[in-house]
Amino acid sequence: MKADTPTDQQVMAQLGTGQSHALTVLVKRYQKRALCIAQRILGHRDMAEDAVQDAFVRVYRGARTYQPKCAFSTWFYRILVNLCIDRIRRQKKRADLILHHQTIKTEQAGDPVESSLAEERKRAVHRAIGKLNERERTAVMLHRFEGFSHQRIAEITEWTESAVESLLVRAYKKLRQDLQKFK
Amino acid sequence: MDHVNDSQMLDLLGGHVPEIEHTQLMAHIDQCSPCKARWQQLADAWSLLGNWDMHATDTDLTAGIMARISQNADIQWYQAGSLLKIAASILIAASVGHMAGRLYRPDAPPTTEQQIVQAMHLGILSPNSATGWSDPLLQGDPSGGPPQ
Repeated sequence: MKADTPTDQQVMAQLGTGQSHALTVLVKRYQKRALCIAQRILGHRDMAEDAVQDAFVRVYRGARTYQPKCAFSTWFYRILVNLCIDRIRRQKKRADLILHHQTIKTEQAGDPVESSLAEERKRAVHRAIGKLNERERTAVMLHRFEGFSHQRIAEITEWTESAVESLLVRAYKKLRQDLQKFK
Repeated sequence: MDHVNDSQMLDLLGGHVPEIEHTQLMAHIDQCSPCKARWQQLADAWSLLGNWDMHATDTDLTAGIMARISQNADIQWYQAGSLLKIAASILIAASVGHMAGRLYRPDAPPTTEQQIVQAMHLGILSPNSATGWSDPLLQGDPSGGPPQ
C-alpha cells in the first residue's frame, strides 16, 4: 500500500466522523472480493450483490461505534458471511443454487470430448458443493478460494477453530466421495 | 511420528504450514501408505474444486449502496416523524386531561343527613332499593310514605 493511501482503519475513522464519501474508498477496495465470496456462498449473482450492498450499508451504520478490535477486513467479511448465511437460511434456495450453478458455461476447449468432460466435471463440482450445508460451504469457500487459514476463518465466522476444522474435514470428505469418479 | 490428520493435510494444501513443518509432514506422507492414500484423495478434491470458477465482473456497487443509505435515512426520518407524532398525541391527551381535571367542579359535599344515611346503610330501606322489602309496608302508610 502506498504511503499516502489511507489504511482501512483511517477510512473507518473518517466515516465515523460523518464523511460518507469515505465509504466509496472501502467499496472500491472490497467489492470485487466480497462479490466473489457472496456469490460462492449464495450461488446467485443478484442475491450476492444484494448481500454485499447490505454489508456496506451496515459498515456505514456501524462506523460511528466501530472499535478496531480486529482487522477491518475480518469485521467486514464477518458481516458479509453472516448476511449470506442468514439469506440461505431464510430463503432455503439450495435447489436454486444448484440449478444456477449448472447454468454456468464452460469455456470451450478445442477438443469437443475434453470440453464435454470439463463441463461434466464442473457440473459435478457444483452439485457436490450444492449438497454441503451453508456452514460447510462457507468454510470450504473461505479456505479453498480465499486462501484463509483455519484461524482466520474462525475469526471471520466467530466459530471456534475446532469447529472450523471439523466443518472443513467433513466438507472435504463429502466432496471427496462425491467427486471420486473424477480423480 | 503420528499419522498426519485431515486437518493438517488441509493446512498443507492451503499453504498454511511453516516450511520446516511442511517438510516433515510431507516426508511422513511419502513414507506412510494410509496417509499417502488420504492425501491423494484430498489433493484430488482440492484440485477438482478449482473447477468452481467465478468470473468476477467489474460491477460497481457504489451507486446502489449510496441509494440504500439515503433510502434508510429517509425511513429513519419517517420513523422518527411517526414517533414524534405519537409523542405529541400523548402529550396533547395528557394536557387535555389535566385541564379538564382542573376545570371539573365536583357536586356539593353531602349534607350531614346524607352522611348519616350513608354511614348507617339506611339506603337499603328506601323504596327503590335493591331489596325493596319495605315497599309494601310503606304503601299501606296513610301518610303516603316517603316521596316517590
